[in-house]
Formats: sequence, structure tokens, C-alpha cells
Amino acid sequence: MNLPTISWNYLKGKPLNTFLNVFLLALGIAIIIVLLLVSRQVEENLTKNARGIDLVVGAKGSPLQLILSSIFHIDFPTGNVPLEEAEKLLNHRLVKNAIPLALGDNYGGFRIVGTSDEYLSLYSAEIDDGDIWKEHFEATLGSDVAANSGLKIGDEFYSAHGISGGGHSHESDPFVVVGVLKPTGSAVDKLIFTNIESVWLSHDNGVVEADSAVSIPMPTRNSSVRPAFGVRPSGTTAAQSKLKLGNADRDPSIPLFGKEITSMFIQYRSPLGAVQLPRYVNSQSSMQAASPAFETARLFTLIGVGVDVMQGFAYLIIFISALSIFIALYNALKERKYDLAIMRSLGASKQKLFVHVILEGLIITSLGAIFGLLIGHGMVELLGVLFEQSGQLGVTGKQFLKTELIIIAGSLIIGVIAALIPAIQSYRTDISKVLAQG
Amino acid sequence: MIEFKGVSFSYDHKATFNFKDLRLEQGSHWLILGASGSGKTTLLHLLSGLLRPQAGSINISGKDIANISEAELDKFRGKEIGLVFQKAHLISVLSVKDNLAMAQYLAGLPQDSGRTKEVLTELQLESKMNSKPYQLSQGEQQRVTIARAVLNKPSVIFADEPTSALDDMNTEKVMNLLENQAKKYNATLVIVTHDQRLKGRISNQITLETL
Repeated sequence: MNLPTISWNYLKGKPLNTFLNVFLLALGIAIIIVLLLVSRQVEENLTKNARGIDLVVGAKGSPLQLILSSIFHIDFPTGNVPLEEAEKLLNHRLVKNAIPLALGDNYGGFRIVGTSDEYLSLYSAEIDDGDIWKEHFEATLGSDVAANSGLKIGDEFYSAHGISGGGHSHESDPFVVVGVLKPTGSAVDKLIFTNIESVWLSHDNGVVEADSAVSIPMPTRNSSVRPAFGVRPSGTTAAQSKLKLGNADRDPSIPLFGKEITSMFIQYRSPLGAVQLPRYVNSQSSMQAASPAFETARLFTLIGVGVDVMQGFAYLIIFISALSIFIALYNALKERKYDLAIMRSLGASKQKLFVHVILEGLIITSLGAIFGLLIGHGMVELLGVLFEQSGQLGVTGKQFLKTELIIIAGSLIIGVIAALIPAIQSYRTDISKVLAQG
Repeated sequence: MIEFKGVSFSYDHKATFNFKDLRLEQGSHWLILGASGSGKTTLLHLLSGLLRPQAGSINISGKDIANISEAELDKFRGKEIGLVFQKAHLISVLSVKDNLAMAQYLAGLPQDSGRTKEVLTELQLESKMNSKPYQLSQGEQQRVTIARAVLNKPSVIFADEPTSALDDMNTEKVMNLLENQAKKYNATLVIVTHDQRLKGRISNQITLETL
């Protein structure tokens, strides 16, 4: 028998009251934990995925959509752009490097990305087993794809049309798995890599189809391009840079005329690129340029409003729970004044009664904090597991943040504050008066 | 031994009680009688340290409880004074056994479940050890408070109207227990009452006069 046991027994004596108070606080804390974890993880993940990419160039449309579809692989692409036009940009003096992407197919819901190994070096992705893709219809799998699709090295599979699962499958040419990548914790893990030519070849017309837009071959706009761009019509063999369509030399048997890619990652040669390139692309070509940093920041200001509202709601719930704990303890004092007087008559000091009541507040809020943490982390984990989209954003309930310690400390302080006035009143109990009443 | 010298007390400095000096030998049994408002309960609360006098000294077992610190008084009360009230006032959320364990804990004594069991057995309550107070009859509840009062082997047992809510049979039982337990531990027993049934049982009587 000690003070915490006595306090705990009083709480057990009113199970519904105690449950309500613990539940209210746990709910408030859980909401805050969910918001905290999800927004933090999504932000971290977006930043990590966009690292090293200064600009994304693709078909005109929503810049946010372009970013989400090309970098994070969660939205549909905005459409396609002519390879020719994209290639011109590579020769701009402010462009240090450009990585082309061809999207449009999937296998079992995992997106097939036509690109070169430069895409992998953006994420420092390394081969775990096998090799990277070189020949047409060779594919290298991200770690999650390897783990969840059942594909092994040497297996053949048919790609399906569309970005997400369940599309019409291309029955002509199967892909062969040649390698598996190590986990990177980025979007790479959920992708299947091949060269761009394979994506073209699996579509009869040689045009990369994006789900969102009916693919219309862009008219070549060579005539409208300014001479300063320094680009000659396709087919010329001048010593100009070419986009790497894969990890092997270009197949000369595939005509490049009228071919399209979905988008292109650009790295600037100098910071001046950030000033000039986006405007140049947007005004001088049929393509649009979107900055990952700017678009993710914009996304977060949009989401931020919702997060703020939810957070305010959570704090309101926590305030109500504190009020409810206070009212419960305060009301209980009336019926417990004899108990408190008896405890004094049995040798308890005033301080002991004070601590006894404070402990009750503390026990409720500790339980609330513990359940809140469990529910919060459980909900985030469930979110990551149940919803493909949030899984792709790297949402997991297994991460613990330092901020959570502040939340726990805060809830304990709430317990003390809610119990303070009742505790002071029990400290002041006039034992003689109470006991003389009967 | 209890010595009561020159004690005066007043609620809110209005009517002042000036108590006669008293001297109660260790192990003796006393009844304090008097009409309502004569200061019976006030006297008992002064003796048990629940109230502190404005003047005078109250010496119990060699300690002047009128002139020690509050913390010391709390400790002394827990160890040396057993209190029984008209109503049982047990802690309703704790079992009978835990009510007694709490008395040991609050007095700062080691928690001895053997001692708890011994006392409960003596008062024929061993079968109720794990019951909650509301599951007991009024007579049983009053017996538990007697068990709680004698648990720490106090040198004084004070009882405030312990029988006024009980029928004749239970009064007989409770009084037997109080007297036997006091005898057993050689504790001084002081009962404040206006219950006429007790007058014949204890010959040492102090009658307080109304102011």
C-alpha cells in the first residue's frame, strides 16, 4: 500500500469517469502524433526524393502534378513531350545534366520507368543482385518491387498499360528481370527500370502513353526555336549532347523522329539556371518547367492549413480533457472529504494528501499519453500499410520523434495543473470540522 | 498516561472552552459525558491532536502534543492514537484488508499483513478481508474501524459516540471489543458519548458542563 496505489484505487472506483478522461486525452494526443509523424515524414521523404533535381521539364499542365508524377510517382503524368524538343534543352548552356523519363506502363501496380542509370545515381541506388538494364526489355527492380511482386532474376513479365495496376497488358514482348536494387528509402524502391526504347517498343506506335492525356505527337517546332538554342534538326550527327535513353548505346534501328518522353530532370550548371531556365522553358517551348523545391513548398502551404485546423482541434480536445479531469477531481472532493480527514487522522500529513490528489491527475494523464502514443503510432502505421499512396510517401508508425517527449511532458504538466486546485483544497481540509460533522 | 493542563480553546475567538485539568492513568478507561455543545467532541479532538489549543499542554505518553510541529503531530497520531468515530468512515474504494494496510502505511509503519490478519481474526472479520466496506453491515463496518484503531498498537484509543448509531446487541459487541482490545494493549480508552447505555459499564466518568 502506498500513495500511487491509493490514488489508483480511487480511479478504479470510477471506471467510466476515468475511462472518459483517459480516452479524451489519448484522442487529442493521438491526433497530434498522427499529424506530426505524417507531415514530418512526408516532408522528409519529399525533400529526400527531390534532392539533386533542380528542375523537372514535362508536358504543360499542373506543375505540382508534374512533380508528383515524375519525382514521387504518385500522381498521373501531365502528358508527353517530343524527345527532340527535350533534347534541345540539354544543350542549353545553363543545363549541366538532364535525365529523361518515360512512364506509362506498370507491372502489378509498380510503375515501369524508362531511363538511364543516372536516375539511380540521383538516389545513390546500388545493385543488390544481378545487373542494371542494358538491352531492350531488360528490367532492374526496386527493392520493394522485388520483395512484393514475386519476380526474381531471370523471370519474364508482361507490362500492362497504364500507371496503376489492372490495365490492358502488352502481350507481345516480355521484360526479363536482370537485377535487383538495394533499398534506398526513396521512390526508387517501388519502381521497375528499363531503357526508354523498351517503353517505346512495347507501344506499337512508338509513343509513350501517359494515363492522364491522350498522347498526341507534338508537332516539331524546330522552325520556332531561336538560333541561340544551337540545336539542329534531328538526324544530324553534330557533336551535340544526346539524352541517355538507357545504359547501352542508342539502337540505330529505332527512328527517333516523333518519339516522346514523359519528363526530364534537369540539374543546373550554375544558380543562374534557377532564374533563367524555368522562364525560358515555359515561354519558348511547348513544355513546362517545374521546380521541385518550389512545388513541394507550395504543397505544404496548401496542406498546412488543414494540418493547422486539425492541430487546433486536437489541442481543444486536450484542453477539454484537462477540464474534465479537473471537474472530476473537484466534484469527488465533496464525497471524499471524510476519506481525506480519516487519512489525516491515521497519520497522513497535509503534503501527503496534496501529492495523493496530484497523483490521480498524473496517473490519468500518463495513461492518456501512453494510449495516445500507441493509438497515434498505430494509426500512422496502419495508414502506411493500408494505403498505397501513403506507403509510397514513406509513412511509417515506427518512427519516434523528439517532439513526442515534449508532448508526454506536456500532458504530465496538464495532469498536475488539472489536479492543482483539488489538491490544494485537500491540503487545506479541516479534519476536525469534517469529522465533527459525523 | 494522559495529562491535560490549563487547556483553553475557542472556535473563531467567540466562546472559549476552558477545560478542567485531567490526569488519566495509562490503561484506564473513561467516559466523557455531557450535553450537546458542552465541548465533548472538542475535548476529544484536542486530545487526539485534530485540534490545537490556544493555551495549555496536552501530554500523552510523555509527549506534549499541544506544542509540537504539525508534521510531528501527524506522525504521533498515526502511531500512538487509535480513533473510532460514530460512523465507520472506511475508505470505500479499498477492501477491508487494504483499509488496514493503509493505516499501517500512513502511520509510517512497516506493512505487516500478518498483523492485519491477526487483528481481523480477533474481531471475527477474517472472512470479510477482501470485501469492500459497502458489502458489510453497519456493525461489521464499526468493527473494522476498531480493528483499524488498534492495528498499530496505540497507547490511547479515543472513541467519539461509537455506539449511538447501533442497536443494543451491536452496542454490547462494540463495547466489549473496545474494552478488550484496550486491555490487551494496555491502552488508555476514552469514550465520548451521550449514550446512557454505557454509563453502567465504565465507572470513570467525566461530565462536562455546558458553558
